[in-house]
Amino acid sequence: MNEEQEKMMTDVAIKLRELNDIDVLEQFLKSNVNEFIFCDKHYRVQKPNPIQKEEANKERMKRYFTMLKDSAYMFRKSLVLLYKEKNIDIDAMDREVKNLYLTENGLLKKLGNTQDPMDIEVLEKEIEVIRKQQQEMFIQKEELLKYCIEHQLDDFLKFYLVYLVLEVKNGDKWERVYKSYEDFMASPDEILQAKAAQVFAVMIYNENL
Amino acid sequence: MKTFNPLRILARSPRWQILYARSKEHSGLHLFNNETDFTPLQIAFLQWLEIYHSMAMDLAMKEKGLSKDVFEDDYRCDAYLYLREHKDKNSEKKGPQEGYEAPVDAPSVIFKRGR
Repeated sequence: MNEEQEKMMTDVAIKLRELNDIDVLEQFLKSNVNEFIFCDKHYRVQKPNPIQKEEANKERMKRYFTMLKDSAYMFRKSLVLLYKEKNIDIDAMDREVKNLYLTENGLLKKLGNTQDPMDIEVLEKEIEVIRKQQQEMFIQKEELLKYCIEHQLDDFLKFYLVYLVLEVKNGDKWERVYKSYEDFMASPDEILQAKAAQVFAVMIYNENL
Repeated sequence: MKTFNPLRILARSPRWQILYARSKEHSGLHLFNNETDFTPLQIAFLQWLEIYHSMAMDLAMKEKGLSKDVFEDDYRCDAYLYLREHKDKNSEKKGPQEGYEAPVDAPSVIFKRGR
């Protein structure tokens, strides 16, 4: 296979993946309840109702007070200061993201005012690079701050909501998969939980497929 | 390679644009199985539907800087929306300029009781 054919095959594969992503997304959009099959069983995940949200919030509060009493946990602000002592400047990263955003706006302005195909191509590539840099910086910051209390609480809330909304079809009835959060955490069904968390993340947090 | 956003591709597709336009005209036509209690994903999709709907209207009105190519291209769309937003903001600013003070004896819409 020559280089051109290889590129064509890669392009076709990418296009097929994109078409598949569009189909999957359309399924997610249809309803606030999403069903999936795992190991021949029907499962569903739905948007949490107000009672479930209230329960999750109560649990988050409990978790928050436990973290407050535990000196092993740190707030974002303290963690940022600690990083500064190690010469990692989160505030500088924020400033850099803001600068990238302003640069991107300048490029968008130029792009909107040109009709020249060459200019369009160059400007689009520059925007692509800037957006990638923004994304990389965001991921880097998330990685650095994932142990702060705020992030830990967000993660806990996501898991707790997945535990609350995950149901399995038993005959004609839908039943909760786990009786308690402890059951959920102790369960060996990691793949099922990961699948449910992925479905939930797309629906609720609008994360990428 | 350009980033790929399936939500935007779906929102600007003729099928979803027609459905959206019809659902605005007929209250009986629903876009999703659920009529209320939308997920954040559905809300984001509705926002994109509205953005592309407004751009389709601009396209029909032959707005400057907008063409079918722009409509189909995420970056050029963003650029068009950026310029449109700032054009709107600038025209809003055409009111009283910064530092402008109304004359003291200018008539007021607030009626004051006479002495």
